[in-house]
Amino acid sequence: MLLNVKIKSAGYEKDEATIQQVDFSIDKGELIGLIGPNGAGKSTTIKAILGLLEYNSGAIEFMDNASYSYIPERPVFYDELTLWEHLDFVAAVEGLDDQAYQEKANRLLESYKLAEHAHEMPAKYSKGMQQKAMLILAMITEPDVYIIDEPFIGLDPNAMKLFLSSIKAERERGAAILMSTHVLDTAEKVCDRFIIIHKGRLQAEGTLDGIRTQCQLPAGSLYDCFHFIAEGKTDE
Amino acid sequence: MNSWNVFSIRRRKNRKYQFKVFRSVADWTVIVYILFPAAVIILFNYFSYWKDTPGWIEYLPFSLIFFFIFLLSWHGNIRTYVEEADKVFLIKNRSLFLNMKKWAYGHTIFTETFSLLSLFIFLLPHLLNYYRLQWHELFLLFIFFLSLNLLIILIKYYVKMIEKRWKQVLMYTMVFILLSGYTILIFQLWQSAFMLPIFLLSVSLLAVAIMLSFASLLRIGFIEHEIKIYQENRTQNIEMIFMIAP
Repeated sequence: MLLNVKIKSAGYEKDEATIQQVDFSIDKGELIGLIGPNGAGKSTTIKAILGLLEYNSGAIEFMDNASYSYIPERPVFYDELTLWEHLDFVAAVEGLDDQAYQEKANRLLESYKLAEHAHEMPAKYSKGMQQKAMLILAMITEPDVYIIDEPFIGLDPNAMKLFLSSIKAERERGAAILMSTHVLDTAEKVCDRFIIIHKGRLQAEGTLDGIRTQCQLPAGSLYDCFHFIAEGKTDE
Repeated sequence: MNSWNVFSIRRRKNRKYQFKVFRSVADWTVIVYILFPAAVIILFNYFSYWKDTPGWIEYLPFSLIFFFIFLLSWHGNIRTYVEEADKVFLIKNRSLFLNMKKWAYGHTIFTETFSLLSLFIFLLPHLLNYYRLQWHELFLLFIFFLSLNLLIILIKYYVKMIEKRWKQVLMYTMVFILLSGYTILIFQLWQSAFMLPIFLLSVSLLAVAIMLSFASLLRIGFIEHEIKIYQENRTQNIEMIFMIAP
């Protein structure tokens, strides 16, 4: 196990819990989809895991000092740094070996077709390019756990394919991935397990078959199960 | 890279930014025809006050000077130097992130001390020649207002977390009344020449304000708030220009 999450309650204001009783764990090489309607508490769950919430009771354990990379829904960069300077900054903060990280950085920049733009400010990139830059900055450290908030927004089909293949390679390396998304058809294809959150509580958890059983929709898609949980009914 | 490097890069960057803001309103014409003459006049007057006490000072009782410094103690904020991208990149290295904030708070203490010292130097001819304060009394006054200032900026740090505007105003009003009462008490002690209690209260308050500030800044969960107040600090000069501009 790489990450163990046991959130009793967490939120932005004292005595106003946004999420409650959210418990799950992630193993090596697993890809877990964090699913839920808008305002369900997905981003709050991610913030709680990252320790960004002041009011958080429970325990978040990264086993054996597992490292993580976080990719937020909206790309954020330092205003005055180029992408290459961001890479330098991340390498310095994380104490990466100079030569190894530069080789990896060049490889990633080539793969994601950002090599020509490496000395430009990411703040001036298009949304898709910014997403790619965030992925590169996350991957450069070779973390044990990825925490990704809505990765598919802003990616063109080619970039999405590249992202999915990168994720596959990282999983083969042993990295675990927690991915919050609304793109259910893609999530259904790539995720091993799902965590469905609604109204701040964990409503269902497990493989797609397990979720189907919990929702009593034996032939349902992930969307059907999601809809059942969010609206309390099926489409049929 | 260590926390001092991160902090000093940000401080330099902020200075450049503030200089750009300053130059956006103060071009050479403004500097040569307004700011420079104003500085010369102020300096000329300042040095003249050392030789001759101005007549208008007779209309300013010491209590008014005390109140004036009290009001100026409300100026300033805790500088966090926390940026939004830190949520993604810097926070992963907790000790680096927290130590950077410690440097930032150290810089806040330095800046506030320097500002207060500048004010005291500006008032010094009057404090020494007209109000006849002794150096140890000046030192005591300085420690009192520094402790008050550091306490106020800590309170502002917390009050700014309150989302509702009316609650913020209510809190500020209550704190203003409380601290005004405390300042009046200190002034009465001053007039009665009870210097030791003032010294002990001021030093205690200074220690408490610094310890509580460090304790607050060593919490990760306030990061969103710290990003917000750093942005406010950075842009406050621009906002002031917009307010003044016709």
